[in-house]
Amino acid sequence: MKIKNSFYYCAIIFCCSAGAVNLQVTVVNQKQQVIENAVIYINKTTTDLIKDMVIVDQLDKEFIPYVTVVQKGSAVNFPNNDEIRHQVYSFSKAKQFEIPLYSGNTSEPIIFNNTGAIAMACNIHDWMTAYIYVVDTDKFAISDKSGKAIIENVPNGNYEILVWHPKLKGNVETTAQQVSILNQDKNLDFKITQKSMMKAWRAPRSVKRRGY
Amino acid sequence: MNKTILHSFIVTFFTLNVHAQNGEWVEWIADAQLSYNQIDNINLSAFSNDQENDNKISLMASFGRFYQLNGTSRLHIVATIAKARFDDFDSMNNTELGLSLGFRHKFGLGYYKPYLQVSLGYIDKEFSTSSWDRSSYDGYLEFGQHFTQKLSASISYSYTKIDGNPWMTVLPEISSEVFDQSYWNSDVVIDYLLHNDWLISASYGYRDGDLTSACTPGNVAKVLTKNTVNAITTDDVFGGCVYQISGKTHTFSTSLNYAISGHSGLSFSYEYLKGDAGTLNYNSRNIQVSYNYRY
Repeated sequence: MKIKNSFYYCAIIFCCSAGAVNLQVTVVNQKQQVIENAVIYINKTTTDLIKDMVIVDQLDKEFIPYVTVVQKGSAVNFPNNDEIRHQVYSFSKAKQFEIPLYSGNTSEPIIFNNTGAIAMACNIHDWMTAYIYVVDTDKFAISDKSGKAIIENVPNGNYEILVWHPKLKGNVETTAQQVSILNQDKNLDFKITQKSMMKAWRAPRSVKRRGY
Repeated sequence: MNKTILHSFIVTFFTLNVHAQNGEWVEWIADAQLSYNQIDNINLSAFSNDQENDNKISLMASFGRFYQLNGTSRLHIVATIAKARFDDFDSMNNTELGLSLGFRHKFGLGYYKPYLQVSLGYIDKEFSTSSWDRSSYDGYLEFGQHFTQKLSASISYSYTKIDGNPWMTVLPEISSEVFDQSYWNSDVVIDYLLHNDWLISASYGYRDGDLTSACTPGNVAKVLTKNTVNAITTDDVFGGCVYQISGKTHTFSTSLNYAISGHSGLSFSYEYLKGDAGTLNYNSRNIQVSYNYRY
């Protein structure tokens, strides 16, 4: 037991001496409302990016999750777990693609080689929308319902932190904050300006107006 | 004639199924609506001293399925059953069975691409007073588009033909088939998203063709002396006579819709109808609250 505890203490001391700390971020909008699904990332290119296989699911005619962050060069798979067919597409500059009508897990993964925001949708079910945000760093996080996110294991140094959100008004660079990390966890508050943007209507209005 | 069109459509419908290379049956359709209506001038009388008001509660359910032809086109087949009960005029309580076959095409890939929808429908409606029973056939064409994230609009055109039950002849020189009607209708609908959960709609409808109106015996002479009616007979439901006349109506409506979830919502709507036929003018109002569910 003593040996085990000693090991943990050593590990903590090592971590602190290496300067790997956590950066806790809170994001609110211009009305001081907490913002879920904000992408917070360190604006510093990481050379050895992990090219993950990321999954964006489709269930009950919705994309899950609504916002996904991937590292540049990652592949995203779009399994369709509805027992119907979807047709996923994007017209975004960072990646334009179309997965023709398919069901199940038959689609080829899409590789995202350019940084930036990619808005995607389903051509059959117009209310189905979601976002992929491509970064060239391995230090990023997505805010939860309380608007909080933690970027873990940030080495000591001076960084620029950026925030992106589907409703962000203006350029992502306008959100930049400089931060110095030195052996201690840090809290950072972001206030971003959101534009008026709504999800397409899905709920039924009448049996006679089917809508899609 | 109408049955022939319906049969042709069914044949086309299934032929399209067979020839669609990647076609597949997809979503099931299971919709339901519970609604409460407060209707002013339910008998569509042109005379204020004849006008009757009533409340109606109705339950409607639809079952069917979509057939996806490709990424931009789909067919639907839907059966509908509905039941309506009135507070005062319970002889108007009715049960409705319907069938609709439709085709929808979206002109390309993307949210802002317009769509075209064509459908044919058949409805059999049986009332507590069997003389009101009728069958209706309609052809429907709709063209619509999203213009912005918040704003969308559609324009539609429909033609309806109704076959009613034979009625007792009261004037030998005039038909008594008051519910044998035909008319065409055109609607413009604008939808605007107020919030993620709130949608407001406004619509205008123009209808040209036969309409049926009821009046008490005291007003029949006013109808017949200055106007040409297509059909007339006595009426058990409103206790006077019912007549059919050719006319035009303008319907203005607005609705506010609240999304409870992606599968259910509440709608509050108000509709005002203004019509004229010969020297006669008609007005009616309808307020509806409904709960809508979609599987």
